[in-house]
Amino acid sequence: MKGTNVNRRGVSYGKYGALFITPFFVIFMIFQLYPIVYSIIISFTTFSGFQIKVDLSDPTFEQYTFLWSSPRFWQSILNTFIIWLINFIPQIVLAFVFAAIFSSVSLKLRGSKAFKIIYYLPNIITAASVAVLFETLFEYRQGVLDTAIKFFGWVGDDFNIARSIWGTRLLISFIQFWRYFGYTVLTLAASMISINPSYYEAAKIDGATGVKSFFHITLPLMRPIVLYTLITSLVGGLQIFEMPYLMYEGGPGLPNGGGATETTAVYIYQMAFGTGSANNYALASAASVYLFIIILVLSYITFRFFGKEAFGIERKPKKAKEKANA
Amino acid sequence: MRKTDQGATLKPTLHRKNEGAHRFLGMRANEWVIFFVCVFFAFICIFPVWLMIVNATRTTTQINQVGGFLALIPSTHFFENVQTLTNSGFDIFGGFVNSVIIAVLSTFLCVYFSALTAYGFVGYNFKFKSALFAVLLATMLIPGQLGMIGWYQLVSDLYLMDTWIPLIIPSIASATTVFFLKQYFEASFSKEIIEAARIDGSSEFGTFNRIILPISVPALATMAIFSFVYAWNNYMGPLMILNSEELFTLPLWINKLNTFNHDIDYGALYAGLVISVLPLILIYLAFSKFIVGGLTLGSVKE
Repeated sequence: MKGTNVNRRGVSYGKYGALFITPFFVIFMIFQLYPIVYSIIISFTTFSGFQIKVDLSDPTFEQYTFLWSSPRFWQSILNTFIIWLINFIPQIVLAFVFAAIFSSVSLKLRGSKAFKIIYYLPNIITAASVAVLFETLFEYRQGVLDTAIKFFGWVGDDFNIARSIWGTRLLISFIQFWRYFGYTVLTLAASMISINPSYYEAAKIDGATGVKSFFHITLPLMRPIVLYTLITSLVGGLQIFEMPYLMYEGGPGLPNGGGATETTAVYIYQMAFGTGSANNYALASAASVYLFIIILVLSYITFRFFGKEAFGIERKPKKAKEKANA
Repeated sequence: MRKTDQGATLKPTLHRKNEGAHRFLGMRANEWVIFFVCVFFAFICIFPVWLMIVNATRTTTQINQVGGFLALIPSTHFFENVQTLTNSGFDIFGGFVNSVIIAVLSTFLCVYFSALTAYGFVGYNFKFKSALFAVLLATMLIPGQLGMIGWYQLVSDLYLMDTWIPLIIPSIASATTVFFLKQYFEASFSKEIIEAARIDGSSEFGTFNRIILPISVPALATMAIFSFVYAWNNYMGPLMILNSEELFTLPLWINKLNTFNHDIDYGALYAGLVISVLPLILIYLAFSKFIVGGLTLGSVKE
């Protein structure tokens, strides 16, 4: 449907469109844009809980330089990436496998609808409840799964997951995998199903089958959706908060003052609202600006890597066919 | 390597040579292998949820007994556990009601105003239209943390601390929902409908309410479910601004349960978790068609 600006009788309707989008933009400006601008401004001050005044007449980079040389802040960024990568890499690889299974026209798989519904289930469950559930299941000598893994002898009797640097990281990565696996499978499967089967027929005539047709037809045609998945997972994954905060409050502690699961979002929250943080709003804001810059840079690199035409862009079957020919 | 093999099976003709292969219950041997891999992953997805439900129905003694972890069949003590929970001061039902009120109001505002915004973008031409839409898209990339401190200060400056208003009103501006509904509208309406309504003397706002909204119910339902789940699961917002227990949402009670983890009995803890997620699971199972199908709404382009 194309925009209708003027109808046959020459009445202008454009103003209604502007009117209809007004509530959105008013609320957007108050509750999203203003807070962002405010946060950026106070990141250049020394504002903390005890002084209310926000004064930009004397901007300072104090917060930014402090963070730049703070091992705890860098550790939080490193933790965020460790947790994201451990969950995202197996997630996307397995999601491709399952998307191929679910979108296959030649496989007669029983209950594939039920599988899809089950795989997506963890994604809708309250993150806070998931965090407490897993923490309780793996609680030292009390949790049902903690007793189970010890019963089967997979870990020693003295193993306390909450005290283990890699135990906590792996568990949180696993939970993230558990929560987003189904979502990624369904997104990729939807995109695979929409690929026109005639491309595969054409490729077959040209002698490209199996592995070749996957890399030269399926993958190139799915580039936009892979990019979408990558960017949303990146933006979401770098903001991970509920799991590390509710389960271990960013712990177990590390010698540099940080914690093994203290992600950047947890760090920001601790600086602003954590106990004993002196409500250092300026520092927390500066950290969130850094986080934003990291997300922007990585999104940009991903865009470049996957090609400019990727987001919401027309597919290019011709190109894929040529590749399949080669 | 497996994924490439699976990619190959996309081709309808590839397995024709196997047509005569031996089948068991309608599936070939390789399909059975794949089937069991799928079952294994389904098990992983369900198992923690099942453990939560089972343990919510058992007493702490049952949970802690030797080999207690092996029990996978629900017991009968769910209501006792809930009783223990409420007796220890966890007003989980109050939290439930609060969560319902907030999630329903947020969902209504989110869906109605997102549809209105999306319709404004699709149905009309006006100044700065593409620039404004670009702004809307850009907000989807901004991490929530960036505005966190500013949002907290804003809520405080507006004297809205410890109220639900900052949790409900911002739902009007949901960029993701607008984006998905815009894609849907573009794919499904022709301007003839609007022209016809105009000729019949319908006002622009009336056209939206009486024609556009009713014919988009499937897309709106999908967005409503996602929006409900999002509002229901919101944790950080209430955590920052709500102090009074009468106003607590379920995630905040879960948060509180977590801090009292070691004093409270385990059956009761699991029961609290079940109450916090059961409505979501039931809604999900009832509307799974909309949800699973709705994930692809954004990519509808014909």
